Amino acid sequence: MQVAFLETPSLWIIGALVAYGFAYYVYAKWVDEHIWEVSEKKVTPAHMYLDGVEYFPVSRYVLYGFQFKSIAALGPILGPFIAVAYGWLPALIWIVIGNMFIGWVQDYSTIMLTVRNEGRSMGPLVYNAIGERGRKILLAYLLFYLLIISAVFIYLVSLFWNVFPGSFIATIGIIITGLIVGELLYKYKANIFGVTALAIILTLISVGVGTAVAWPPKDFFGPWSIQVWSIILAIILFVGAIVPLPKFITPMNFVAVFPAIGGVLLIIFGALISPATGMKLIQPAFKGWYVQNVGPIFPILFVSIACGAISGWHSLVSTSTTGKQLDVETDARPVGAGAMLTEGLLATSALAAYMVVSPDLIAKGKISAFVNGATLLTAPFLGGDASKAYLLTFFSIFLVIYAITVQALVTRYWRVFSAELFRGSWEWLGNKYVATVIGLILPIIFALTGSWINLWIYFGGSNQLLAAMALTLVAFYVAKMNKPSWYSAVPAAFMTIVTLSALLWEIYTFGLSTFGIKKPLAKPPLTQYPGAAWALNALFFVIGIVLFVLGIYMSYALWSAYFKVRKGEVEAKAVSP
Amino acid sequence: MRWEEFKRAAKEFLFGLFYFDLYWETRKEAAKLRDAVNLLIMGELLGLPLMTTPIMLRLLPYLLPEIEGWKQRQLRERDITEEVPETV
Repeated sequence: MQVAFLETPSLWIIGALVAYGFAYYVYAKWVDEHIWEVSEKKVTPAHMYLDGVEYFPVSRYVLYGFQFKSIAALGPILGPFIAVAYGWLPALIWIVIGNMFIGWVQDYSTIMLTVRNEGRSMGPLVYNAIGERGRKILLAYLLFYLLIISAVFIYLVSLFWNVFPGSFIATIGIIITGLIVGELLYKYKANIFGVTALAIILTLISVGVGTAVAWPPKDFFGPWSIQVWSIILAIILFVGAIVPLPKFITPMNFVAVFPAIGGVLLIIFGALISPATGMKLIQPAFKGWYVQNVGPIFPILFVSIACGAISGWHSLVSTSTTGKQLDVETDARPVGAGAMLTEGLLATSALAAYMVVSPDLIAKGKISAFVNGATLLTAPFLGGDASKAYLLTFFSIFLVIYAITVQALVTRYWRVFSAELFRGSWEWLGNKYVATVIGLILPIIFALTGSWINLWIYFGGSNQLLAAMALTLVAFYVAKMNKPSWYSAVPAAFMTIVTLSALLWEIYTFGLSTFGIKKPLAKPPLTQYPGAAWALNALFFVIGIVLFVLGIYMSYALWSAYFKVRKGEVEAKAVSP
Repeated sequence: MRWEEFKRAAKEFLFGLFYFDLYWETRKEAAKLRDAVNLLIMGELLGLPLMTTPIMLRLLPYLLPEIEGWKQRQLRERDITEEVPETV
């Protein structure tokens, strides 16, 4: 029995839980009390600037649930898929260490930065540290980063629709459910709980119809399937980006949160009770230092699992939303650190789903590995073999719905971002329709290469670099408060080195194909057009260089500002009022 | 008492997980519409030539509780990074 327990993923999940408990109750508490010296008596921006819309105090439990919902997406679920190519042990170590010493540090500290800086978000915080040019470079960096995110998610949804017959019908069912829910809530002022029940029932029916009909069959559009699916997706996203939020995106995201969070809870539960369900570890613990088509373990492992260990995007969420609604400073730890460590638990559970699937699926880079693993973990307590077909569709739609809701928001954000960026000059690029079309065509072009692992590493690298910037910014402000800044500066230095190395690795990979040393990275049907494949690889090469240069500039500027404060060249003063 | 506290915490957590986003987005959308109406009613007082009618002036008293929040929303520092989508 003991051997059986050791052979299941649950032991490792419980081990991770203990580590996260230590991080929360010991390390985070120490930072909370000794570095930030939080106090219930200090007035937070939620009270200071109370307007009932952007700023208003919210209970810690509500904010914890909201923060978790906001940060838990595909990152912790798909990231471990690439990382497990090195074996599950390195992936597990990085998830646990990353969460314990880096992930929560960033999420919690950026909330505190906003709280102690009158509710300021990332842009103004960067402006205060390194000036207007720094803020502009940050915006330019975000622009390219948005392109990479869009390319990843558009490609993934198209791939899921192609690989999992039935997931398209289920997606359409959920979108229609969203439209119905939107009308009921906003037009007919229907009762929210009745609407919730209806949304859940219609979602489950959509998954059931998708499972029963399983249409269209795989490769329905032939070799161009993924490209055709990406155009169909682009049409949906275009509508989402230009119609008012309450008409489409808000209700769709509301409906989507139920299967998404439901899936997350099922996976965590399935991983925890794996000794009882008999799911065994069949992946090797360690496979090697270098994996063909992925790269060396350093730095790729650290950027492949992004959101599950540390994610730069969280710093934007923490500074733009959560920090403005914190009731009292003492809530920052349960909300910021608590939500991040819970996300770490999700990443560990997703890893468990890969631990129980055949190593062949991982070796072949089959994204269906997650769907299979999640089904294996959950089927034993959800009806056994009889429910497997339904669960396969459910977990495929789980991936699709996560990606599509994120992408709908990202496309819309791209439009708003473009309008802001091109105000005053080249205004036509900020036009509602032009910006949306550009924000969809460019990622589709990138996604054409079919090399989602390389796209993911670009995404992870640039996302983690944003985290390195946020951590350096935190170190800057903490040093300015005359407090020990090592707790943020050391992870910042590590992340800066790791992410710039990862971007360099990808530049090198695409450089090899750009300069004709290797064949371009491409999948059919693009392989029939070597010129186009080369051009796309060269484009990726250039994008990588741009991201790298912008990243180097930001890192240099932020670290210089930090060392100036440390040397006393900038007046050190308490940031809090 | 502890059980009551737990129930309250669980209820609030579930609200945050499933409903807070919808609640907040709706609140923001409502504020945008209200701000537009506020501008129509108050515009002339702010120097905008909107030809405010006496009927609009009759609505002024309903605006009073909102003026403080409205003023803060209009005057506060804004940055495009605040608009980032929550989930990535």
